[in-house]
Amino acid sequence: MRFISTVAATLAVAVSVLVAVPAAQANQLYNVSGTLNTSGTLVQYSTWRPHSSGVSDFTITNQVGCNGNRWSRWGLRKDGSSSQYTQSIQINGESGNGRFRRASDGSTTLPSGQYAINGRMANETGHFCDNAWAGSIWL
Amino acid sequence: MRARRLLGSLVFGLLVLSSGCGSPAPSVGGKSLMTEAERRAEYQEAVAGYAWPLPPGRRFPPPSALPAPEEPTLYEVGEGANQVDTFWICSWMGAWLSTRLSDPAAARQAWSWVEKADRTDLHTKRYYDPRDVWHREILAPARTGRIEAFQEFYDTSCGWGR
Repeated sequence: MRFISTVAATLAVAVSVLVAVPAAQANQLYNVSGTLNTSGTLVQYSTWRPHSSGVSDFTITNQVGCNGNRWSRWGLRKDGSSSQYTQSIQINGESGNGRFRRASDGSTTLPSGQYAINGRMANETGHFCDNAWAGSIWL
Repeated sequence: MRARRLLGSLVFGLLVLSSGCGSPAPSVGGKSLMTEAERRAEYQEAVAGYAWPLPPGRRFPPPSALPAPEEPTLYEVGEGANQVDTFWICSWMGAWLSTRLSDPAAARQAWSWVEKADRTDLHTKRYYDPRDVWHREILAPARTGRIEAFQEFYDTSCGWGR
């Protein structure tokens, strides 16, 4: 009897967990890559991705840099608008990551919608510039 | 001596060219980035050739009405055309939301266009949606009367297009 009630309780918990996690919460990790501009100008990428309300993390695994000065700055836009929706994340060194925050209130919960990436690197002139980058975004 | 100086200049020139540093038109995924003027031209061209209608009373805004960046910006190719598709999709989404309870015929027409959004260049070329969120989480529930996700998408992602 105790066994049956334990099984029933376990099933009830499992069902409640399944019900409590709607499909809309299932965001995804995307591999991303591209090339920034060595003049330091902001680049708006044109690939849009859907997002269900929640956090968005950005990771750089292949950093840009000129003359050993290796950093990049990233943000997200939304709404088909040209302005950036999130605060910028600056990633220093060979690799790193950060979590996007809404520019309006600093919240890490980004509402459902579609998002695209903004990026920039240092304004450098030199012979040893690497403006190709790669990483991933959880969106 | 003169020949050595010439050779030195030539080697230096080749190094600069091969580094790509400071070049005005770098590439992303093999495609050029666009200036603001080029983005507007791409937008204008996409508007001029747009095959599908907007809802009654709606017109594509002129390029001068495009949301302006707050600083010098380069755009990946396609972003100007994206704004045309976004405007078109959001216009029909808005038309459906505003008629669905009051004008069944207009709502049916609006919905028939909303369902074609996945044929736009935005969706077929520059909207990466491997989980098919658009169909599974936005359109499918709305079709059965659960409009929350559809409404939220419209509220949060259709600022340009309202």
